[in-house]
Formats: sequence, C-alpha cells, structure tokens
Amino acid sequence: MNVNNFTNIKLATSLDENINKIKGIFVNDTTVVYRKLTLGRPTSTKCILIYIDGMAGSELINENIIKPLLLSDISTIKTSTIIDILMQKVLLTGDNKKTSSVDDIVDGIIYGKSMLFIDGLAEAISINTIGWETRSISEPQSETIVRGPREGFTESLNLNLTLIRRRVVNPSLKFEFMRIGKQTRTQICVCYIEGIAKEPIHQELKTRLRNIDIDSILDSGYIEEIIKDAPYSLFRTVVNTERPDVVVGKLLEGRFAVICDGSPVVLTLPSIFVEVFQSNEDYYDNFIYSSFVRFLRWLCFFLGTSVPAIYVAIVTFHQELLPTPLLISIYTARKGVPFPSIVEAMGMTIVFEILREAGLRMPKHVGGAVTIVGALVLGDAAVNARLVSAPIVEITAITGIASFLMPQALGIVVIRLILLLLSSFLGLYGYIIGVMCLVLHMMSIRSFGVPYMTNMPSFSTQDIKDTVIRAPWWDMYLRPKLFTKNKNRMKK
Amino acid sequence: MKKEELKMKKKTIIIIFLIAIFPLILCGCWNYREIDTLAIVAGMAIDKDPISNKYILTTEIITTQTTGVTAIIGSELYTSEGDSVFNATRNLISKTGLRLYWSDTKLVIISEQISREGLLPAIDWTNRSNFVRPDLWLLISKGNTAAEILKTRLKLNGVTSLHLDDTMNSWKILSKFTNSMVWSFVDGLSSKGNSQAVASVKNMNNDDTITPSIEGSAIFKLDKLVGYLNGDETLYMIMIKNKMSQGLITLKNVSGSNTNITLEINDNKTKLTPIYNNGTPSMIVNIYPIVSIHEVQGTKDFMSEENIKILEIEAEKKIKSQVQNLISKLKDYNSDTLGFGKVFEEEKPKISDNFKKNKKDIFTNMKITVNVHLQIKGSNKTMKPINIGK
Repeated sequence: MNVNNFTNIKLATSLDENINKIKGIFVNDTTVVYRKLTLGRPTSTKCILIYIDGMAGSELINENIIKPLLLSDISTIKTSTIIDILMQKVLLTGDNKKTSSVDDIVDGIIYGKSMLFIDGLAEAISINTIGWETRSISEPQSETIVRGPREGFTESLNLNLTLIRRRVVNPSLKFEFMRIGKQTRTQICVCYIEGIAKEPIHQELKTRLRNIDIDSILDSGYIEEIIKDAPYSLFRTVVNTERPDVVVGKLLEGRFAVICDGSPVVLTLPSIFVEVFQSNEDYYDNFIYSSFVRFLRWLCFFLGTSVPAIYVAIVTFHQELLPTPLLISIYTARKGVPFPSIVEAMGMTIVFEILREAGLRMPKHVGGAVTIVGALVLGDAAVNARLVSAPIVEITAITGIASFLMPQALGIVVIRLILLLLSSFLGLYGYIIGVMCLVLHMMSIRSFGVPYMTNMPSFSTQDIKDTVIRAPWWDMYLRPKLFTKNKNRMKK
Repeated sequence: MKKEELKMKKKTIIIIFLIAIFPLILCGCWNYREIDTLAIVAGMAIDKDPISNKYILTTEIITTQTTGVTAIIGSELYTSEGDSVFNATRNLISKTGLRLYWSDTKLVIISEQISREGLLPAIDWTNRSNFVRPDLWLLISKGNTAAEILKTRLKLNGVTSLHLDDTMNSWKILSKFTNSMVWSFVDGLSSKGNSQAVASVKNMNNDDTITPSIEGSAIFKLDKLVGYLNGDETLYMIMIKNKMSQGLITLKNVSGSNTNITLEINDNKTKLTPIYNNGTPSMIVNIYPIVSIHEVQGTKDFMSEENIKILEIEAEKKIKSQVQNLISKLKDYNSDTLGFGKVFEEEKPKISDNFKKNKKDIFTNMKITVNVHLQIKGSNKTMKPINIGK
C-alpha cells in the first residue's frame, strides 16, 4: 500500500548517521528544521529535534521541548535510561512516544510531529506538536437550518472527532483509524456506537475500505464512490453531511460514519431512500409542522421529476385529458411558438440548469447579474418574443425550485430529463414505463445489505413513523430494525 | 458450467422482460400532435339543404388573439356541405386547414326540419365517432335554422357554444328545459314506446342584439319531432319524471286576494303507481313537493296557520291542473316522454306485452289520476308581507 517504504532503513546508534538518513529522505526540503541540542552542560549528551516548520507549533516546541531540555541537568545518567527519563521528567508535552520505525518517524514529521533523536540510541521520541492552522467551526453553507446546532465540520479530522465525541459522552462510541491513498496517505476514521451498530455491516465496511487501492483521497467523495453499492446508480447508497448533529443522529440509529481527513463532508451508511427527505431540523421542530414539510418534500420530489414529462405527454398526446378552459389557455399560449413542446421543455430545463450552475460557481457579487438575466431575459422576454410559451416557463421554474427542497442532493434533473424524453415520444405510456423502471431499479438496490427502499412499501405505524411523516419523539420508541442490533430506543 | 447456466438464465430473463415490456410500448394511440395544430370545435349545428338534400354543417371553432399579455378568446364559424355529416366534417378541413379537434365539443344543434324528418341520421356520427364525446348537449333549434343559433354573438362569452354549455349546465336551477344529451337520446330510443324530450333553443332579442335562449323542450315520437312544450310545461314534466331539484311556481291572486306569491320548489318526490283494472290501465301520480315562499307581492298575510293551509290547497290545485294539462297535451302528441309506458313494462310486464301484441299504445289509453301533497317549509328571511305604514 505504502509507496514510501522505509522498512529496510534501520536507525543506527550514531546521531550523525541517523541525521544523514533522515536528511537523505527529505532531500532538498528546506522546511524541515534540524535543531541540535545539548542536554544541560556543553559536554552532555547531544540530541537533535526534527520537525517541519509550519506543521508543528513553534511556540509549543520552544517552551515545552527545547527550554526544558536545555535547562535539564541529567549529565550523569547513563545513555540507556536517558530516553525514559526525558519522556517522564523533562519534556513538558503530553503525547510522547518511543519509536524506532523509520516509517513512523517520517510520517510523524510530515504530519507535524517532532522527533527527538538522542546520541547513542537507535530510537527516537515522537512528540505530538501538531500545530497547523485549521478553519474555525462555522455553520455549513450547504445545510443551513433555522433551528438546531450551528456547528459544522471542518477539514481537520481531530477537530471533527471532537465535535462528534462532545455529543456522545459515552465510551461505547468507537473510532477506528486507517490510512488510504498510496500517495496522500490520508487518514480515515470509521465511527460507530458499539451495542447499537450491527457487526456484519461493520465487517463489510472494513473489508471494503481495506480493498481500496487508490493513489489519493482528496475528499470523502472518493471513498463514497468506491465503496458504495450500485455504483452506476443515480441514487446515493451512502449519504453525506457536514453537520455533526446529523452524524450523531445517524450513529444512534446504528449507522456508521466515515470521516476523512481534509474533508468537512462526513459519509454515513447504510443509507436508504427516505434519508433524501430527512432534514435534521425535522427532529427539532414541532412534529406536525415537520410532517407537513416532509410531505412537501415528497410532493416536490414528484413535481421535480414528473411535471415537465406529464405536461409534454398531455399537451402532445392526450389533449382529451385537459378541461376546456385549461385547454384553451394552453392553446393560446402555444399559438405562434415556433418549437415543439419537447424542445421547449428540454431547452428551458437546460437553461435553468445552466443558470443554477453559473450562480453556484460565480463570485457572489456577479450572482445578482445572473439572477436578473435569468429572470427577465430568459423568462419574461422569451415569452413576449414568443420563443417559449408561458406554461413552460412556469413549469421549469416550479420544477427547478422543487428539486432544491431535498436536504440530500439527488440528481433529480437526470430523472426529469429521462422521463421527459420518454414521454415526448410515447406520451403517458412512456412516462409510466419510466416510472416503473425507476421503481424497479430503486427496489433492487441495497446499501450494505439493507434494502434501499426499506419501509417504503410498509403501512405499519412504526415503519412509517419517520418517512412521509415525522412522528413525535415519544412515539419513535424503536430504532430502524434493519440497521441495529438494539432495537429499543426508549421504553414504550 | 455453472457460470454458463447462470448466463443462460440471465438471458432468458432479459428476453422475457423485453417481451413483457414491448406490448406496453407498442399499445395505445400513437398520435403525436402539438396542441396548437388543432382547431378546437366548441359546438356544431346541423341543417339540411331542402333542395339538394345535403347536410350543412356549421362548426364554431375557438380562436385566440393575443395582444401583449391579454388574450382574447373568440370564435369563428366554418360551414361545409356533405351528403352525410361525416362527409361534411371532412370537407371542413379544406377550409380550416387544421385538424378538427372534437373532444371539447359541447353541443350539437339540430334544425327543426331535420328533427321532423328524423333525428337519428343526423346524430349517428356524433354518437358513433371515437373523436366526439357522447355527452354532447343535444339541442333543437325552434323557428331558426341551427346555424343561426351559432351565428349570434354575445359579449358575456366570446364563444356562443360555451355560453350555451353554461346555460345547459344550469338546467337544475331553472328546470325549464331538460338536460338532453346525445347518448341519453340514443339510449332512450332503444326501449320501446319511450319518447324523448330535448331542450329547444331559439334566437331572441336582448338589449338590441340577438341572443340564443334555451327554453322549453321539443317532444319526440321515436326520433321524429312532434311538438313543443313551453318552459312551464317542461317544469311539470321534470317534476313527474322525478328529476326536479329546483324550480319556481307563481300563484296569482291567491284565494281572490290582491296577493301574488312565488314559491320555490326545494325538493320533490314523485311516485308512480300503475294499476290495471278491467282492461283499462291507469296510473296514479303522487307528487310530494316541498316548497318555500320566496316572494310575496301584496298585503295579505299568509303566515297564519289557516292561511298557509289555503295557500297549500291553492298551490296543489295549480300544480294538479298544470300536470293534467301537460298530460293531455302529451296524449295529443301521442308521445310518452313521461315514461309511463316504461313503468308498466317494469312493474306489470304482462299487461305491457299484451298491449304491444295488440299494437295498442298503452300511454294514450291510460287513465291518469294526479294527487299533489304539497308542504310549505317556510318563508325566506321575513315572515310578514311588507306593509306600508299608515
């Protein structure tokens, strides 16, 4: 796995030799600091402290490592015991470890740790002096809510772990670390709650992670795509979030979280279709209102996927379905428009996606211009110039807005375009065929052994409590049964 | 070996799936057409040229004009001739250029002349064609040609046919014409001896323009027009047919006083009891209307108990005499639109068969007794007549 294999390099007892070995690994790297020290008196044992400037906190090193070492008076001690005495009595840092593996030493130095080599010993003390700059904790912009905790994950793995740990003050919250990426050696952490999470899923996740053979991991998205079930599917069998409260909520239902160093996006799995409609705010707000919002999201899922397809099918194949006033209204709007309905619908959908994407990538102060261009030029002016009919503008707008309601981004626009295409040459038959294929596909997916459509075809009250509606907390006394080995959340 | 078997299995599953899905794709009407390539027909009128004996079809086609944001919905008439109605509809395309779209057609107006000769040939296409809905309103133009009805222009509604559709939809409030539809007319003809009443329409002067007005009904004997009923007579016909939901009865100079009273029928039940006695069939018609007083013109107070009784008796008398008039008129026409023959057929089939064998009409030989049991539910907001203070 590791391309930087230094297992054949062994530490020597001579300090100069060791220095040369390390220098040989970090050739031409001027950020590596080699600080030579002499313990106590000028004639005492010589040491060297190696760290990377910027990765390690220099104040920490000066105050807690260099100062006590220089001021120590331990010249009389034998070299064989000096390392323990330094660790136990001299160094003022908390996390010190003895190590003789060059691999660990090099990794540690790169990661911001300081290595203390002592003359006459084939060992080094690894001192945790990680002190690089991290982004401060802020509310994630992609998942803003009105009520609920405002903390969001950052790019620092350690900080992210503290955000989770603070919410579950319980030793059964487990973290398992591993490194993935031959070049990047990115640290990955699997997080779960023992006693709630299921062991088979844990084993499966571990094998999948272990089998990853990739050179780099820059974001958790890499891991998501490699380990997820149904890799060609549009649907997410692994969901992600930037909010620690969401992650903890999922852990408490028996799910696993995969945290990736350098990414604020945390993966949770197994994941089912309902999670697309679940927002953490649902659980903090009044349950009646939350249920209403849930219902709205389901409605918007339907609107976002189907409305253009149904419109085109009805307008070009099944005009008989329209009541007379509506027929006349659409007839009036369509009169004089040069393009067929399908071209209109496709074109406007794509234009909307272009605008959305442009608004996303553009600098904030240019965004206003995009909105004005979008609203006026492409909407009103296009209708007045009779390039597109007014109903299509209306439909594009409503479907476009509707697809933003899902808390978990889902490629609704792809489903919409496929259904639109089908219904444009087969009418409602095409639409229904599309829907049937979609449902069959969704029914066949599994996420880590859990059916993707879990609880969907069910009418039992404990199954639907958290799907189309959000039941009050006192009624959700069971955990989702397929994820967890401990079903009872609370006494009934 | 096992792998290959699995592959075969997969293949067969895919083939079965494809076979199952193809009928889904290939069935149904492959009929792509943009909505703006249609000529929406709102209504049609059928006349007959008396000399060439060709059908003259007049269709009202919805047109729209957009000026800026507002759209004006109007209509245009297109006329064509043909040996049959279907012929005429096809000939129309040479004038409209667009395909005619019949699904939103609201009504068909048939001229009096065609009705007298026989209605069926004229409406056969509308009933048979899969383009036209069977729930078209069926109207008979009285005095005017059918095309003349559609030629009228209203400001209330740019499309005359849609206006007539609205009018027909309010038949329940007015009860002065029947809700005659093409399918129910054809359906009614299939039971023997039954005759139909169809709403009639004619042009009237209204505010210096000519507007169509639906009132009364045309009485058919089989599919031939035999006469007309006016609006009030139609109301009593609907009452006997037990289809009444609302309607007005005006009593003039109640019990010799100066007071006119208008009653609204809120509810009505009619029971028909067929009796056969010594070779004469007779029918007892029991009418149970529930009415309320809606207008009192005059000073006499009818709210006291005795006076209400008087009012009830007076109203019963009026209804009874009107119903008897209607029945004698229908007997003159020899048209059983009330469906009395059908009641006999259902409840006393042997007698009905007997009459049919002897080729005697059961309706014209029927003795009919009418009993009215009226009930006044109340007055509207005020109890008393308005008295001018002295």
